[in-house]
Amino acid sequence: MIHFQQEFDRLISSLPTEKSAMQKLRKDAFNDFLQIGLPTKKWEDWRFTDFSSIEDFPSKIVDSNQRDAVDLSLNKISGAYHIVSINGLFQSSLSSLPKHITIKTGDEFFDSHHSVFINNKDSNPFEFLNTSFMRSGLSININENVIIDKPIQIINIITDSATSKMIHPRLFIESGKNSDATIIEHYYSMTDNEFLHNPVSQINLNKNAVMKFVRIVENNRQLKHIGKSQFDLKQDSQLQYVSFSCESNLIRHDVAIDFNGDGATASLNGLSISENDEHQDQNIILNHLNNFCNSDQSFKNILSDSSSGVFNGKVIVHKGTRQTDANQSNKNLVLSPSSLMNANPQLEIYSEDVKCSHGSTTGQISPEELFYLRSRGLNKKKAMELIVEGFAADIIELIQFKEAREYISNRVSAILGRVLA
Amino acid sequence: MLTIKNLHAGVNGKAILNGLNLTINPGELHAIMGRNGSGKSTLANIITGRDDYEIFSGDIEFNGKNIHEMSPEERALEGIFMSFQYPVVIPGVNNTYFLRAALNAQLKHNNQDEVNAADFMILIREKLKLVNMDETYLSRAVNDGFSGGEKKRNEILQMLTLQPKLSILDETDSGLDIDALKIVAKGVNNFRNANRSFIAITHYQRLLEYMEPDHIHILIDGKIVKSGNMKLAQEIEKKGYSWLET
Repeated sequence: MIHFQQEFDRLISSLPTEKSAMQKLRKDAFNDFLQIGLPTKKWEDWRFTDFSSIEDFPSKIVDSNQRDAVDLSLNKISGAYHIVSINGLFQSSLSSLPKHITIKTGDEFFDSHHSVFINNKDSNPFEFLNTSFMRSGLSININENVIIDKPIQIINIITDSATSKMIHPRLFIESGKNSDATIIEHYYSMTDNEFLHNPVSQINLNKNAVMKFVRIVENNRQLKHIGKSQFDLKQDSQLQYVSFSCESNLIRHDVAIDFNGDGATASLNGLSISENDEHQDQNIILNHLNNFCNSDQSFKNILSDSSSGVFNGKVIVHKGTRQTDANQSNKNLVLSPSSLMNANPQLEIYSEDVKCSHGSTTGQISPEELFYLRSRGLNKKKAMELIVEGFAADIIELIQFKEAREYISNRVSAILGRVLA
Repeated sequence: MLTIKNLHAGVNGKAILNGLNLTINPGELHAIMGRNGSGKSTLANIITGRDDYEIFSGDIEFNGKNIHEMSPEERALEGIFMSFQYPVVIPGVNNTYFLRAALNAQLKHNNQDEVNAADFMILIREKLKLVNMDETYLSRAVNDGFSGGEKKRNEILQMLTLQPKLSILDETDSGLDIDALKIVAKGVNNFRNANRSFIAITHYQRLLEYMEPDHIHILIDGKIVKSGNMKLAQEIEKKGYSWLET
């Protein structure tokens, strides 16, 4: 923790002109972070993940001014608008923005959305850490009554080749009444060095807004990605969320959804693939606070080698709410005897007018499926690829934007090609 | 085409086939009848190479090659096919993609050009008609959400597409209503020619009425105890199996 303290002091002294309100925000958040500390095995919702590597992490804030040549062809998804951020700094010359949205970064963002930064309801230590260290941030305002004609891909790229750096991206999206948009929140590393990634996103859907949201984390075997996404859904809004994560040393992602209006619906889905000794922890909390809200969750893990995974999903149906329909499913495919999955699907129901289901399965490739495909002439590797790709396809096919679907499918095929070799 | 000599085999160490002999020539359809547990499905699994099934002694030769050490896919590529008694559901794996991959594995093995997606669609649409299946099949996952009849017709469709030399029909009639049975039998009959051989495993003579086997064998306790023609099947239908037991 001493590293964080030293770096925080350095940050504060390097920003002598920053507004006092902003400095206070940082200091308060950092004090909260120090007081709470990092999660331990005794924290109920965190206990399956070991954060000791963060404790000792010799963290230095990423150098935002470092601008190596960036090959965007590796990660740009075609057919979309692009908002490019390199080492935490928005790059307007590399970005293409649609009509009907307004973006803000830096002081302009912090000044206009102050309340966003004191909204850490669940006292998540990593959100406090983010608020302490965040730099430019990004806010996107989508106008009311508009359909954004193409998806918006937000590409967060790290190029800083120095080791043991950290970055704290902050994203805020306000989606106007009756708007319809697709957002791809994409984290991509161009360095293989150890890195601490600590993004926090808040996405608000106003009345009757529709959002299709894709989140991708990939491409750094030394990455520690500890992120939080908070969604607030107003009346009759619809969220369709699909996440894909792979190729990272440690991932912990908290997703919290608050149904803040009647008739809101959320479909939440995720695919995580882990190799080597990687560890991925998905922690999902859905708060059914209003009437006639539906939620549908499907999270899948594919685990190989000595990797491990956690699915902790909680659906809370609050007292007095009516006609909630909530389904939760978690399926895990274990490809190696030394990989490990912890699954913990939970329902907390304080209302009588509900329809809920939940279930979790963890298993290996079925010998019957394998024999069936081999009996048709497919070799064992090809047969296994088909079965595992089929397992993943259920999630990937939920992405409506074809190019994003293909981007992820290609990633999955490449990973399975080496995992099943 | 297929020669089985004094075969002793079983599953997980337990003997089920106890000295089975069978010779199948090109163009022949052999029916194997027997009660539950007589070893019919074990024979099918042994020929196709399913894990956990093992040969204790004896020989199986397919077109002059000993198949004991061959993997299931090698046997398939040599031209052995089984229509499963219980076709397996494979969620998320598209029928069209799977079947084209299987056909291309076959073509590649035979040093022939692989078929591209467009040509495959023409081919598969032709085959679909032969088993009365509609085109929604093409976008569905393998056997996922299929009715019992659809699953069995899918097996026959795969057979017609992959064009095996030896097709083993493992209780293809079970769970089929009479209309579906006729479709399946028609698919098989149109596929028969002088070079293709079949083993039809069944409990009942019903299927055989539509398929006209060349030989019928009765399997009891892992051995063929009697062979004959359609008259034998009719006798079984009347008298059951007990009169054949020693």
